[in-house]
Amino acid sequence: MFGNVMRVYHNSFFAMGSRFNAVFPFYNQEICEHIFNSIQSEVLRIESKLSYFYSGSEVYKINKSAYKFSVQLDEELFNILETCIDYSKITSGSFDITLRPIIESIKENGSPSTPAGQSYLNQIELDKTNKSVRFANEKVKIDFGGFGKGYALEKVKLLLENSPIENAFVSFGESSILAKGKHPGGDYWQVGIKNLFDADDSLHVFNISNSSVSTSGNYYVDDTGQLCSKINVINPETGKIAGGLSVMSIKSDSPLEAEILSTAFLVMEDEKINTTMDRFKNIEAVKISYSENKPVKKLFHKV
Amino acid sequence: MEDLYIINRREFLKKISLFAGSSVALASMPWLKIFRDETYAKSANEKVRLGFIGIGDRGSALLQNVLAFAKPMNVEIAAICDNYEPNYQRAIKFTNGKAKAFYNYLDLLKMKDLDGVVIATPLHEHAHITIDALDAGLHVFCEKSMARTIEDSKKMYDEHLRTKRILQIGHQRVFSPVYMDAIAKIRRGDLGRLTHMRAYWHRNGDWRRPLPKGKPELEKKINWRLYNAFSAGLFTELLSHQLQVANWIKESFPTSVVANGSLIYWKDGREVYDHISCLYFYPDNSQFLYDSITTNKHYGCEEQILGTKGSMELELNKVYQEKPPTPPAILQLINDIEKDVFQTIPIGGASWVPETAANIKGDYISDNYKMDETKLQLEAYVRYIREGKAPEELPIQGYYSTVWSLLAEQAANTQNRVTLDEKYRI
Repeated sequence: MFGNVMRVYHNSFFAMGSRFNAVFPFYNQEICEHIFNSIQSEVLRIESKLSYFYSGSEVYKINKSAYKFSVQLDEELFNILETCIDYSKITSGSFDITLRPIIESIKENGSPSTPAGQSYLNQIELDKTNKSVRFANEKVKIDFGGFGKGYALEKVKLLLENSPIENAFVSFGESSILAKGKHPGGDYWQVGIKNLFDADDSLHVFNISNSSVSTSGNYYVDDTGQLCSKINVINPETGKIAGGLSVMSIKSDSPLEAEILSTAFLVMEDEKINTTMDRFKNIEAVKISYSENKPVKKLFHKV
Repeated sequence: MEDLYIINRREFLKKISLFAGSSVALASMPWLKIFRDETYAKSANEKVRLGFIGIGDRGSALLQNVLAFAKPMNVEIAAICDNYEPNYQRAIKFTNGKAKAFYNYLDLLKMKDLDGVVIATPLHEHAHITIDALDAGLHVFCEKSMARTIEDSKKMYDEHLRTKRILQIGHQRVFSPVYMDAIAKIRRGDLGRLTHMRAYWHRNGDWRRPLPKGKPELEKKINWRLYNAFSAGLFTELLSHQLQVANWIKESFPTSVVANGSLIYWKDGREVYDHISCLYFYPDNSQFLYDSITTNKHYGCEEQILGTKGSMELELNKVYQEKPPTPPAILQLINDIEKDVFQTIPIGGASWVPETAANIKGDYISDNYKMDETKLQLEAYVRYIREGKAPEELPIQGYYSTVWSLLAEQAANTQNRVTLDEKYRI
């Protein structure tokens, strides 16, 4: 503390099509700067590896070549693919990294490129011995859009755990939050889930410490709270685009798990969410749907 | 078919009319006022008759640019002049033999009904030709740099004041829509406080023009840029362009310069340096760092404007934000921590995305339409001739970019930090 004012370190950068903000209530500028730079390097490294659009990324190369021949992967990317396939099984296919071509087909032709309930995921062959991947045909594409921020925050969590910074609040595009320690004025950090039609109103509050909150939705908002655009979110089971406006927020100790489950639960039937939650420890889930501009909140519990 | 320039020009004129009420256009680009002067159209009935002196590579380009708008702008190329036979013949061909052709510019200046001249001779000839043309009562457009020496540049400027004739120096970037938009954005604070500027012009080549077979005696006439008597090489031919941009953006002129030059690769008898680097100091203590080389072109040509909130790359038409906008909830959180307030941060929600994806990888400074600034500066010259005057900022910009380019040459040659002698201030 300097007098009555706590010094706060704040820094930000652009990444993964969004922005990354870190807040450290800490007084040593040099240490904060050093930790922040390590975080930025790591997040940008992951982005350059997993980006769907960047022509130098490994994912881009896989999407371009894996239907022609087996593509050798490094350990990290192979593990990522395995993790995604595992989570797809756990969520009965609601989390699916192969949905992009189906969504693009709906956008272009008005109909999905696969019959309802059929995913491209089972057309990915992973070779554990050679650590390689092969796609069954050229329609298969992988996209880590619903995974990347969570994976990056998992790495950020490790960096923070191994740093002298005791308390930290990290926001990745405001949809993925990670907190270490506590707010200097409390015993934890209070993360409010915003009301789309009243930016100052929190419809639900998560108290987090050494954990994270991820929110997935089917729309974008700007800083004034204005709705910018809708996103096509597809239900892999029905092959249909989710209607209305809704967000699913998950609290979990693992930012990656929070990210994956918020993506999966957004399109999952309510009953299934409750049963799926049984498989995870320490998670909380809340879904907010908007009907005629009024929010409807639903909390999910383990059965 | 309508010329693309004329089509794009309409867009440009629309843009200028939008600029009309802005203080930035009046303060930083007073030379553009001519394009929104409504009384101008009436005087366009009067033909403007131009003479071209020096029809080498640059002179030909200028001539062709004027020919492209000669009809709609009511301009006549009345005379051409070059003392090098192939250029002389080429100019006759360009003008279909309609322009009077001369080998000696003094004969061209004797023509009774000329309004102005366009001079694109080797640098060492600019001063005396310009002064003679001004003395003959003609307006002058002279390619940059102004002259081979500071003294001659001052004489040119003084003669322009004495004769009250227009003296426009060919710095086309001041007529570029990209640079205009950049200046407007810089002045409104988009880059924060301007703290630094860098520029470079890198080429990979010997910078030579081929000699006609069996005519080695023409070496210095054709490759004048490589010899000290005629040119300061990279200082006057390249640096002066980008130094003018730096001066324009900084709204001031340097206070001193240190520089270095080396001739390390093209040891073919040339006298000028093939690598130069300069560091200019400005009244606000900021610096402008420059280098120009002839042995690597990877980085090409660029002017980088660096401020506390962002950066611009003018040649690439790109602007970059230093940081993304801070989310309101993060601002609240910082404020709460500083004031020891513990409350909920309304932050969680759908993901934030920038207005355009380009915000992340740099945005365009200006609309992506083509506008030929070389043509535009020549059209401005024609318009100024009709008005009988041009904004004084143009020759001042030309003068100081030449003078400070020559001072950098001096700094490199003497290895001293060089300032401008008071007698050369205008």
